[in-house]
Amino acid sequence: MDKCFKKIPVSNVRNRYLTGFLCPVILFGSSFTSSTLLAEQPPDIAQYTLQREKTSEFVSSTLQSGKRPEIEISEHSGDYQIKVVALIAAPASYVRDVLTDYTHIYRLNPSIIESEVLKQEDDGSVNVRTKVVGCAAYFCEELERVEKVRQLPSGDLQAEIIPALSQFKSGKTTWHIKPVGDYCEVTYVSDMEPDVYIPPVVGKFLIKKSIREEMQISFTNLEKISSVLAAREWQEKHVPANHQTVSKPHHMEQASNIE
Amino acid sequence: MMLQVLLWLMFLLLVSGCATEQAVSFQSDIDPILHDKCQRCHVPPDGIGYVRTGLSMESYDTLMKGTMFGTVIVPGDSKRSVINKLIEGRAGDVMRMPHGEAKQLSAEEIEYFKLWVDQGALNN
Repeated sequence: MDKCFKKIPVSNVRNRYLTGFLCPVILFGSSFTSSTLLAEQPPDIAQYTLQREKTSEFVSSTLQSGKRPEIEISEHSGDYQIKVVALIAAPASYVRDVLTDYTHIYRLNPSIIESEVLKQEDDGSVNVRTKVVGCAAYFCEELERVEKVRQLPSGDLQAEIIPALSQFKSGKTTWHIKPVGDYCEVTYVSDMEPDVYIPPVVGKFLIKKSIREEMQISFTNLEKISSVLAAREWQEKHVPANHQTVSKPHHMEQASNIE
Repeated sequence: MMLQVLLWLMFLLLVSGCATEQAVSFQSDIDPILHDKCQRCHVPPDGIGYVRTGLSMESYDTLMKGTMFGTVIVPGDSKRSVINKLIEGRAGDVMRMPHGEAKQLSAEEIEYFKLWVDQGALNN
């Protein structure tokens, strides 16, 4: 029964997001409304961008300015394959920091409604539990998963679902982050099979549509957070302390002291 | 027969009226919690939570503006709102708000936040 889709309350309809297995881009399981995607950049980012334009070749923002990532989605017998390629307006190191900041992974997408770092292995891999809520039309489902995440020698990130602890039969995701000047190109490749009943009425078209929308949200947030962190560090290096509008990069702080 | 139907309708109306959830007010229910439990850190210019995230809880407007990373409230949807995730401990114990030795929110206060957000996070 608990694997059946639930009708969401009317009060939640206007803020519904499509995610869960519907949102495999949520690698490890992260708050932003869709209006955030089109929101103006905060002043600190704008200032950062302005300063960077003066000092280097700095092309205009990508996802935050409305450009969509390239997204390919296919499905075979309940197995979903997703590939996303996006130019992110932030340096690769910051993007990697955001993706491996597991305690803050909920920031990547509102649909990550629960997240928790379970344990860190001796080999450097980390087990991360997330619960995501996914909706297609009026049907919603909450899906839990535990992923073993590790950074490959190449710098790529790889996450593998642990089926015994997840509502997925299988799942493997790779993030490839390639520096492109001050920006980076992020390639996301995922193959996963959710272990839930999907009512025929939902339809593959709706699921693919929701995956596409959630990908857009997650990648836009990834760019936004990465660029804010880059702006903070840049400001710290170049702006006198009494003129700074932002503080130390969060990855230099204790996780327990930050939101 | 008609009378029975009417009586049933009246009963149902009464029951549905009783089941209406309590309306939560920002001014009288939420703001005092923010003042008591959150503003210690989330106030400009020197509050540590403000300095690190840009989130000021001084007023309704600053709360709705959110952090430098994005909004913390999705009106009508406490499940997806960052503030609810953090005060409920849904992002892990290490991220539970408020941090450190600050007074924790009671179960009742957490429920108020949930209801307030689900009711649209109004400035009421």
